[in-house]
Amino acid sequence: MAEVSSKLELRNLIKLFGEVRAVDGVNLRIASGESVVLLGPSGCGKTTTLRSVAGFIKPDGGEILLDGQKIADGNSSMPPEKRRLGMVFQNYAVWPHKSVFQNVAYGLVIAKLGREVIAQRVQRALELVKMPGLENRMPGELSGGQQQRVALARAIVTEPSMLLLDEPLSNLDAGLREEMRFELKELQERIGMTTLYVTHDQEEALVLADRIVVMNKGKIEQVDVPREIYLHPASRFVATFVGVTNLLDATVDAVDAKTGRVRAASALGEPFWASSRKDKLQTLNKGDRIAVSVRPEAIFVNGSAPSLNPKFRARVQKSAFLGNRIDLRLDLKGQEFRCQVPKFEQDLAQSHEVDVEFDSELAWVV
Amino acid sequence: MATTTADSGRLLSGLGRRLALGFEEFQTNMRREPVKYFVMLVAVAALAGLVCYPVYLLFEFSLFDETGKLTFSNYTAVFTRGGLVSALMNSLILAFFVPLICLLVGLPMAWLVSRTDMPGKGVVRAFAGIAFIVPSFIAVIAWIFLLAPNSGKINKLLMSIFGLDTPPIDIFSMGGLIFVESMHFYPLVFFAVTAALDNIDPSYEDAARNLGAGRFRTATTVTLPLVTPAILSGLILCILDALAAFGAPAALGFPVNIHVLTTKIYTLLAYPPQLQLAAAVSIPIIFFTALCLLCQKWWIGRTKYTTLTGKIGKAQAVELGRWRWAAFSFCFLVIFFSVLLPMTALIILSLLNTFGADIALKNMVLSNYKIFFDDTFIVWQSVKNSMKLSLATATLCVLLGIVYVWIVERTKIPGRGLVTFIVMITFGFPAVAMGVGILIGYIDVLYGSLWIIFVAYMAKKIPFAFIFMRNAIKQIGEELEEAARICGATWLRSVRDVTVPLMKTGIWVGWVLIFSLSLRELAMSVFLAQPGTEVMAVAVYIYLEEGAVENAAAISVVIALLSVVTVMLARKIAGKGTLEVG
Repeated sequence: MAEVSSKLELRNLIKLFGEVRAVDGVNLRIASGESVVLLGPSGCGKTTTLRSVAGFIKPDGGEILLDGQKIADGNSSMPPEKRRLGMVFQNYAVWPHKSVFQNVAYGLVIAKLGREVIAQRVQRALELVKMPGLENRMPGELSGGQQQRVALARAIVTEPSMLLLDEPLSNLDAGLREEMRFELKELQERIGMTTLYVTHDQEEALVLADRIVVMNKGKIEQVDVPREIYLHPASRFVATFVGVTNLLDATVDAVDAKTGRVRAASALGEPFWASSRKDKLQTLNKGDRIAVSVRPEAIFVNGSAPSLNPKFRARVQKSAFLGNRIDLRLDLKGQEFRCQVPKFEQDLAQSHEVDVEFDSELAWVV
Repeated sequence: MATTTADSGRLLSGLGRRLALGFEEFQTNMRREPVKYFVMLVAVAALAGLVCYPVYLLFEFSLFDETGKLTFSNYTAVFTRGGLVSALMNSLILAFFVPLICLLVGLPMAWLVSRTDMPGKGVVRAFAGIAFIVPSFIAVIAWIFLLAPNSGKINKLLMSIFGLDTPPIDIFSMGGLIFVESMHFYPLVFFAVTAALDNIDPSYEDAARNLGAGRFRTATTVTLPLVTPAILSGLILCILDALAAFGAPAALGFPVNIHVLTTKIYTLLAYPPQLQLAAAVSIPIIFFTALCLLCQKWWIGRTKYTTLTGKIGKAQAVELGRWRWAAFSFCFLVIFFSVLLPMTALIILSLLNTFGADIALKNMVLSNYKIFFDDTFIVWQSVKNSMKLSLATATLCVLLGIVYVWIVERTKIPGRGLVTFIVMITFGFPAVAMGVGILIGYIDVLYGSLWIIFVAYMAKKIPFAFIFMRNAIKQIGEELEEAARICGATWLRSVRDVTVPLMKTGIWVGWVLIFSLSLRELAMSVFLAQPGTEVMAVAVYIYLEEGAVENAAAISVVIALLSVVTVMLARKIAGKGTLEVG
């Protein structure tokens, strides 16, 4: 099968700041039209990676290829203005001394396009971001959300080969953020633009991404579709960073390769069954130390149906009423576990004793 | 702290490695963006020529005698030769008494204007500003008019009122010099302290009053200690300016052979020039300046003085009650002696037909101003020279300032801290010392032309441009420039389309201010100028020396007016109150 050439390829990308390896051997391929999100905490290297692709940071090692052409490596780097990219900055960077029209048209003016072509394309871009008719306003007169749309229009009007977004929604207030998430996703799909986002908000990543790249300390921890990242995290870090989870230290008691399950013995007492990836399963032997990620939704409290796993006795430490559910903190043999119950099902107060059991499909070995 | 040789070795090699890495990165960057680095290289070369070279020469010349032998005799001469020693003593006396008076005058004024309900606060602030804007050597002319021993108008008035035989006040004295300089420099303390007081969190004082301290006690035990850094900055500026002043000491000291270090340097440069001694006399001033600036940095760095806690509440003005008008009278007296009296006297003098004439309408003429338009006088040429020089200096300083600020704020080039340091050095140098360095450095090539004066102006004004440009660029997020690059603009274009337009206010304010300062520069111009290359301030000086005081006054009035107008213009451009000192 012929290898499909990717839009963007990072080969063993390395960037050092003094002694710190900000980007430590990052390998990534992004296909045309794909939307990829770099997700991670501050300092994980996601912004450095993005800015290296943009051309503001010059790599110390490795290569960056755009449309199959090398644009940067440890010795040379194509300047940003030659890369034909579009970028939306965290603070929008909308020029205050230029009107909305002049802002959006800037890239086209540099490309020396005709006046009419420019006017046409600016108008179309503004329509795409749902800001028609505001060409003559000055950025100072616009709200944050409007400025963000102008920044977006400016980025896409030049029809770049790829779009880069640096935490595009972090400066918006919560309600607007949720709305813009879906709009951004819809726009990206509509124009078929390859995009690379950077964010630390995992919910945002789950909505925006075709694939998520979870990064930590300069390295990639896992690259996968959102569903897989959430349900089947590859490491402790991914399990705790994306979504909420309870991590349990355990040792391997038995392995069932056919069903993809592992019986884990832990401080909770009786061993219980959890699931794992087939390839990881093959490397596990009885007695190996593992960690099991048990998300709140994987825990059944006072469940009625008999299941594969034993019931453990736990005591309610704290319960918080959250409207549509109750958030529980349980004391399970000295370890704190978070889980939830639907409100109308049970009324659980502090010090109540409950039975909990883990769903063997959802409990995941990381 | 490295405790073993192995540790120190590791420390040094780590440092060396970082430097090497830095330079390597610099070289690769240079290859990638040639235009940008060429521009920066040219600017840095200019800096070396403007600052490093003259400074180096100053040190070199002070350490060698005429035969070219290395010696300390120049320095010992400063402390042993009678004329030099007395000049040194006088400079020290100035450096002590002027700041003292500035403190006694400026501090109460600042407190009254900023923290009390004294009437006429706006007036006081405005006139304190004018006292500083108008150059002191111009005010001196007015004081000579008023308080010269025999012909001074006030002396004559007092003698006739009190029936005295000898004139009671002689402005041509150390006392007179201290007075004139204090009246010019107290705004340094005033503005530094008002800026701090205006921003104090009022709850500090409220707490004291709440605990039972009266107004005066609160002021002295809480308010003023909180603004100690501001007071110190103002004082240090006073000390440095008092030491570096040339115009007033020259005008008041030369006729009676009272010298300070700066005027001594001037005489040492008269034919035949004793450059080595002149350099050696400059060096102590430079070191003292550096010492003062270091002290300030150390002292202020030591204690936590954050008063800007974000809560800038509307401060309760202290009610002075029956002291209101007494307070205002005090401030009015200061304004009277620092601005109203001298400026009025100056204008009157410029309108008198001869110096000694009585002040009466029949003696008032406009003919003194004719010298501006009559090209048999040097004034017209001097005005042209001043204009040319000031325009060129302001423009080029601003341009270079942008580049230097770019290097310091927008690149990671190793050693850019050094650029800041070199740019700011000349700020602390007395102008006369700088002039000596430039003279030694460029005398063969540029002497006798406007160019040498231009070099001197540039060297001394570059720190102003740097400060203004740096404040301007700090307000521009790097993302704004990056966004332009991503859209396809080259580095130079992004600077042109984004950076410079957004720095417009800072650029204009800086330009106007440097233009204004260059227009009235005296200390360097006076010995770098030749017949034909005089500037306006030098014309004033020459007329003063010749005794044509009315002509000097006429030019002075014009300079004073230009100074005030340009500063008002700068303030208007900048918005509000960004030009306060400190």
